[in-house]
Amino acid sequence: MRTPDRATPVAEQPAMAPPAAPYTGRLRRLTGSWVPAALIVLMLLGVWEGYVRLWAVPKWLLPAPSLIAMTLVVSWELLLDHTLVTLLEVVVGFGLSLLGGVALACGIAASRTLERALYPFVIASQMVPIIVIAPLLLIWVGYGLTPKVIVVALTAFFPIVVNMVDGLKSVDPDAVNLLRTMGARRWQIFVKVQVPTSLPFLFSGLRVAMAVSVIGAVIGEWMGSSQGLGYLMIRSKPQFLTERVFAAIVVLSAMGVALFVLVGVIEKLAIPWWHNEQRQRSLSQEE
Amino acid sequence: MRLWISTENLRGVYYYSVNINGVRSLRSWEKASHPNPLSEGRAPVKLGALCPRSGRGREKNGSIKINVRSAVKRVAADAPAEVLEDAKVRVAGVSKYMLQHGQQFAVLQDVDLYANAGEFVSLIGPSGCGKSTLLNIIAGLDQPSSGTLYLNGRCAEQRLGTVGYMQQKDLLLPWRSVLDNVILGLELRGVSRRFARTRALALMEQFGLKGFETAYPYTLSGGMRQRAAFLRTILPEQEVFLLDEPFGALDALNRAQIHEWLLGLWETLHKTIVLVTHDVDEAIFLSDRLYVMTARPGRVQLVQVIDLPRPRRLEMVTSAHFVALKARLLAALRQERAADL
Amino acid sequence: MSQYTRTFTILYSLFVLILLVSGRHHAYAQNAALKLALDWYPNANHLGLFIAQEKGYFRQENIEVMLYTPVDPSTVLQTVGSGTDDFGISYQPDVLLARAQAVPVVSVAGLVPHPLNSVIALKSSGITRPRDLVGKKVGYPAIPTNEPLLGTMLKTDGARGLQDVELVNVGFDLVPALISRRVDAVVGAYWTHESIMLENQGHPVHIMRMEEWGVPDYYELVLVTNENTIKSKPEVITRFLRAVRRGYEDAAQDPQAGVDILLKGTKAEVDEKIERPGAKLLAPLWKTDKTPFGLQDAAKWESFTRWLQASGLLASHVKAADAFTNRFHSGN
Repeated sequence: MRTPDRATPVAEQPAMAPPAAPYTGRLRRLTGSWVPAALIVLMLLGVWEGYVRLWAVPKWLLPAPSLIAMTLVVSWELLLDHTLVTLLEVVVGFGLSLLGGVALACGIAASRTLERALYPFVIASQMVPIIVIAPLLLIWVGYGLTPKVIVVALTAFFPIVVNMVDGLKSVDPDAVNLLRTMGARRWQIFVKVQVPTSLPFLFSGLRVAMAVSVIGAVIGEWMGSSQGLGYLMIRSKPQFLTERVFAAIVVLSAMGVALFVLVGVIEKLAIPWWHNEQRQRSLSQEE
Repeated sequence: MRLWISTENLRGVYYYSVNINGVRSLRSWEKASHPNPLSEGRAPVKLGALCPRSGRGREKNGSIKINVRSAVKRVAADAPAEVLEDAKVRVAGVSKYMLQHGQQFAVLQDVDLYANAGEFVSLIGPSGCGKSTLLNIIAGLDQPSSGTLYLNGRCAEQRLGTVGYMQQKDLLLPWRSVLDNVILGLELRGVSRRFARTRALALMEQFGLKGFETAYPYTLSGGMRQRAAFLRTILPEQEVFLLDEPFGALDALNRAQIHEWLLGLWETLHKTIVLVTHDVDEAIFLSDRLYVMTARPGRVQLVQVIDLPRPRRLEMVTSAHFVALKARLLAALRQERAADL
Repeated sequence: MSQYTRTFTILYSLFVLILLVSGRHHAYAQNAALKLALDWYPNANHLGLFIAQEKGYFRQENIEVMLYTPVDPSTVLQTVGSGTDDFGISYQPDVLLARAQAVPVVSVAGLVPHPLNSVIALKSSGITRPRDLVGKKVGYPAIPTNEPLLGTMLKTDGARGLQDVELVNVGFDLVPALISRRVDAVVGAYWTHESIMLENQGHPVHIMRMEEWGVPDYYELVLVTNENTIKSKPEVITRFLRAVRRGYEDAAQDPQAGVDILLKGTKAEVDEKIERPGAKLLAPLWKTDKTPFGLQDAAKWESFTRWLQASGLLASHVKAADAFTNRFHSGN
């Protein structure tokens, strides 16, 4: 299992010991790279199940994975209904945050005055605890989808803006000079060089924003909602249906992971050159 | 171009160096600050009875009024061929000062340089002598602290976009395909992408980039990237091109090939090229004239005319004349380096 | 063995070791303080407990009690059920729901013999009876039992039931929701607390009491413990309840003095302007001329359990008699 398929001549690597590579070669190709992670997850689940059964932990305290799985299967319709609501909140809030955040980032990067005026607010927006804001939002905005969407947008805002501003500012000054020598105007430089440079940064921020958006949606639902996975959680808790709470958590995690991966897929489609470059660079490093 | 003029008045013989704008009136004229204008290898032109009394030029402290312009024009007619008024690029007395650690120091000092239409001029010198700064000034990225710059005979304050500038780094934008990178200059001028692409495609083969139109820059080798950058530089068809050590990243073999290719291209394009390099061989091989610059603060130390026959052949590199030129230039450079140490 | 496999095995063995070593973790020393988890931040409902603490009734019974509000008050029955807390204050419907899920909690004393939960509307809205709520928005704090409570009130007054009103989950901020007129009325608000808050802010209110509108009378707050404690330390419970009873009897006699003690013990959490009127309202409920304080009425438990089962919220296998006991009441 350990022999790498390429023979590395000793003369080429005299001082460096070959790195420990136990999981390479044929076995890796056969099983794919997700197997170790899956094995660890299964192991943890096994320990959990064993603990619950061995020590007869009551199900309202800590449900066994088998019970959670059963709940997932049995109540799938209920879970689906609530999942769709939460998903809608996440997507709409995230979309709003994306549009607003990108626009604000372009403004901040373009004008020093705007940066000095607005950046502190951007940072403050992250410091405000959502748990405190959410009930106030309910009073100001009302009940329904809007306050949850606002909560999601607030949580997603910060990573998007900060990453995009960093990306816009990280433009290669030599590239800017190049365009200037070609007689480019400021907006041309912005659109043709700064924006494409910022895209990898933006997507990095989008991935973080997507993850926190899901959490934001759930927290928004804890105060004043009648639908959604967060609502399902707070309703199941007083009824001591802890397995349903956990089932909701599982669905929520799956949703978060799926959205996260989706952003990655969109990134690969939007900026293929970035990944190709990264891959090229890592390949040359491996050699 | 600077003319040395001597006049005689009651106070004695005065030497004046004069910058000339061929079209407009005199910009400035000043008392000769150089200790001995004769040491530059050029005798000053005597203005005497040639000048009528009235005119634009005025001696600073004296009472002599000289119409130096018409005088100079007449003088220029007799002047050697090197003094042309319509040089494409003219750097006149340019100095550049920069601030570092609160101290102001000179990067360039009183640099005079010109390139005529269709000429290939090189600039060599030790590193840090301000060659790139000079190119930046010519291109318009920077402004001189003193002195003037003339492009196409005009004093141009806003120069950006008028000359093509190829920098040391190829700076191909990684998110654009090779073709889209190459048309960047045209695109910025408002030319439609489709039209620009057709123009570029016609030249891709000549630049050795055939088949790589839709590829991304990271797939290109070093030499191909430089050629792509060069194509990008010349596509907007400006009159003057500045090349800043464009072949520095290439190995000797590639470089020889690219030199030949570049000369072949230049001969068809008839453009003015100013090349900055620290490779003496390259400079001698490619150019018509060569300026040697001193170490910081950069000054023109030597102007050398390269009278090797055109079209240049690689075999010339080992010819006696070539070697003699090279020896002379290396001596000058060594002298500079010794002075530096 | 390859390095990878070795790492794997070590990790797995570690996990199994943790598994074997952990085991039951909720054993505690006999002489440690008894933990009582409050249902909410200290308020007038807890007067007797604080009096017992302050006047030394617990000490006289040779027990030490720690009163605290858990970070998440909705977990009281879980912490009591698992043994992390010895006692807790919870709600009668919640105790029944817990027992339906086999949480081993038992109510040992009734602290408030009637519902404090009520439907509150601003006087300016003109809503005086449940029927007036038809077609309106009613805010509630997402606790499931509020739904059948409101439904029964509506049905008793001639409406069809919950489908006639729009229930809006407003979290626990019932007062702002009502004041801002986002909802026309709220349920889940106490007529000894939220009503006072509203009146203090200049909004006179109209209160609709549960037991007046068809809901069987029930205990709003009960004192719970877990079955394990009942088995292992029954005399501790008896002594504890004795002290609690004395505390509440004192509170019934002089509620304002009790509020003074409450204010002394807690700091910023207690709003005097709410608790003083609240204590005045609660004092008659604690009065023990008819029944001793804390003694639970079996009929109340039975009728309420049946009602909750009829509403569909409670499973049918739950027996009311198992959910409470008067065994430790010294008045017996």
